[in-house]
Amino acid sequence: MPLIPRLTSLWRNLFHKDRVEQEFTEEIQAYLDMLTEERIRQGLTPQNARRSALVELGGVEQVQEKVREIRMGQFLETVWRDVRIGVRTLVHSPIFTVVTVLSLARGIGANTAIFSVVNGLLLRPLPYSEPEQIVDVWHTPPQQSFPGLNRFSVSPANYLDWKAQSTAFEPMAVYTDTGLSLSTSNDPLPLTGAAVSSDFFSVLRSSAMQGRTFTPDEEQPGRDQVVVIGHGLWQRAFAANPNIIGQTLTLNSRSFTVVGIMPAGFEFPREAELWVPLAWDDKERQTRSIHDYLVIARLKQNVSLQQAQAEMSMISSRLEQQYSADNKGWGAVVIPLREDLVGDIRLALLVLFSAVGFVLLIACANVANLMLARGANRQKEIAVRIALGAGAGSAGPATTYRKRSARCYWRSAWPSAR
Amino acid sequence: MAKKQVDLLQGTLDLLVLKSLALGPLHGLGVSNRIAQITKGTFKVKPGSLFPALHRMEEAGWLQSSWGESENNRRAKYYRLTAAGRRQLDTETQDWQRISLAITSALKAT
Repeated sequence: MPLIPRLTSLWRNLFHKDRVEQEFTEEIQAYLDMLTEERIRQGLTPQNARRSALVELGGVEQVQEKVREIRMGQFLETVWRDVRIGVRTLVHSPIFTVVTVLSLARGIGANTAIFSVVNGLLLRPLPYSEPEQIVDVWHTPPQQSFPGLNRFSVSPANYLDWKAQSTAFEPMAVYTDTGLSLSTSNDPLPLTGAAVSSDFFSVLRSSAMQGRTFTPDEEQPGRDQVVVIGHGLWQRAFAANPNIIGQTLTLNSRSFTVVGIMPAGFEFPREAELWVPLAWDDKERQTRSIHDYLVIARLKQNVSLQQAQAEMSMISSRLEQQYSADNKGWGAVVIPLREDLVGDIRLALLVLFSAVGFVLLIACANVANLMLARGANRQKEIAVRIALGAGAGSAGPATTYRKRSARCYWRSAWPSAR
Repeated sequence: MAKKQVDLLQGTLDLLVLKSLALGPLHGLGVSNRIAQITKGTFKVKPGSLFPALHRMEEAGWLQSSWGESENNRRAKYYRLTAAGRRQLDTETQDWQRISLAITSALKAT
């Protein structure tokens, strides 16, 4: 309702405190004088009139204190005063302060660091549509040749058979990391890129922000001199020029036509900034023994991971019989993309996260112990404050905050102490 | 003057202060005297409750204060009702009438 008068009072009480106090003293004084005059008119002697007026007032300072308590902004002032007392107390005992700050900082810092890792890897969803449907498909190598390895990259011919024979995926795509060097007017700019099949972008359900991604016929050698650039690179190297599409870039001394710009945030695989088509010639398409490629796929709706795995195992054993020279012992494994990115560190991360949580609890317990030790010293100080007239309202907060925080440190530290 | 003074009910002080200012601006002592007068001496508001109430109601926007000259040429702070204060007086009056009616009929019940 009346917001303006409230705000003006708050302003006055906080920034013109002296004037407010001064005015109130005058107001009380006028009240006393007028009451005294009234009493004199009623027949009292001046001294008695004054005395009875003072008695009725009940103490100038007490009335002033009561009015101060209801004033707007009083709470802020109390908190501010407690903060000042707190800072003074801390400055007076530097060793205590340093020890406390360091142990809390250590606990909080470790937690923040680990939490940002946990948040990035485990909590934040992948920036693709229905990311739980995206899987990586790997070879499992024969254990006698590659003991202990359970994931292996894929050869072109096997990938093409997988793609042709499987029904669980919609669609399946292949890619490989590739370093590309962009010729500029200055030094060549080394960039992280990927050579990808045309289905790559539809597996991730990502399309170009401007222009297009690749068409299937661009997977043929000779027609593959097109490039899709990432948002970051577009801004960094091309000043976000919207007319870049259709222009020619020189990458690894070959010229490529820019056909698309990806939206900000698309940087798959890891930190890739530009993408070119993966074009295999006929010889490469028949290669089974050179494992150089990574396979990513999107599970069809209603197809479970187990079903996809079963199908891939079946296809693998068929290929094993068909091409026993190259494929003996080579299986396939389907792994959700998130698990593949995070891998085995999930459990380790959670353990680490709990561990740093306990570090913080222990730090709190230490601080609580220090607080208790200091409590004894403060008894004298509190006694002095109360003797000087601090009521529950002013000796209180400085001590109750601290007691309360010490208590809750104890409570939270108790499980670890036990 | 052997009238018994009664402790103010919680919440009635605001109503009495608003009512006492309804006729025109008054200073602190004036408010106190007017309340004693209109309640026929039943209530005597002490400065320890009066000033906090005046300041609280001023901050709520119901009252406005300004310095002026008293009857005896003394500088005093005068309070007057604002439009919001008048509305507040109306609501509190209605509330009080409802309460007092209810209490009266409750006490009459057998």
